[in-house]
Amino acid sequence: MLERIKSINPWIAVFVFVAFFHWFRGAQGDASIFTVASVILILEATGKFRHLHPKRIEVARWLIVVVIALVGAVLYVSPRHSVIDGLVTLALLPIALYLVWYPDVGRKPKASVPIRRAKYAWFYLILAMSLIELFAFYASQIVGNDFDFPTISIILNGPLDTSAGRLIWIVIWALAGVALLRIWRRKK
Amino acid sequence: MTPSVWIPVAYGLVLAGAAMLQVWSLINRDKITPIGEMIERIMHHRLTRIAVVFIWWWLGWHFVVA
Repeated sequence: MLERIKSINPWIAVFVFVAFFHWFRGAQGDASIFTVASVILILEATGKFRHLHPKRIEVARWLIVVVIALVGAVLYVSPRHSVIDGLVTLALLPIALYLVWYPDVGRKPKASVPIRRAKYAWFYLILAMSLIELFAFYASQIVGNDFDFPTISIILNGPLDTSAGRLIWIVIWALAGVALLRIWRRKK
Repeated sequence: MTPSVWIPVAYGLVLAGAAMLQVWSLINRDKITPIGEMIERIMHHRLTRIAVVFIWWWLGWHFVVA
C-alpha cells in the first residue's frame, strides 16, 4: 500500500487535492477545471495517451506576437468576467495543451546540486504562499468576512477591475505563458 | 497590525523573496539554478508540462474570467 502511495505522481496528488478542495469550498467552476485536469493527468500517467504523439511544433514568432496582441486586446477591452473573455480564454487551453503534448525526448538528466537547491527553494516559496492562502481562506470563512482575512483573489480583485491593473495582469500572464510553453526560443 | 494588513504584507514578503532568489541565482549560477533553467529541466516530462500549463491557464481564467 505504502509503495503504491509512493508511486503516485506528485502532480496528480496536488491536482486531486486542489480539485477536492474546490468542490469542498463550493467553487464548482474551479473544481470542474481541476477535476478535468486530474483525469487528464491520470490518463497520461497510465499511458492512455501513448499513441497521441504529435511532434513538437515550432510556432512562427510573428504568429505568437499576433495571437498575444489579439488575445490581450480582447481580454483588455471586453469587460472582466464577460462571455467573450471566457470564450477566448477557453480557446487557449486546447492550443496550449497541444503545444506541450509532444513526446518526451530522451532520459531526464540527473539533477545537479544547484538545480536541487533551486527546486527546494521554489517549492518552499510556493508552499508558504499556499499556506497563507489556506489560512486566509479558512479564517475568512470562520469570521464570515472576506476582507478581514483577504485571500489573493480578494486582494487582486480591486486592482484587476481597473484598466491599468488588468493590463499589467494580462501582460504578465501572456509572457509567462510564452515562457512556459517555450515557443519563443529556437533550437540551436 | 490587523490580519487585513499583515496577510497582504506576508504575500508581498514571499514575492520579494522570490525576486531576491531569482536575482541571487542569476549572479550565483554555480550555487543555485535560475528559474528559467529549472523550468527547462522540470518540463522534460509530458505529464509535468500538462500540469504546469493547466496551472498557468487556470490563473488567467480565475483572475480574468471567473
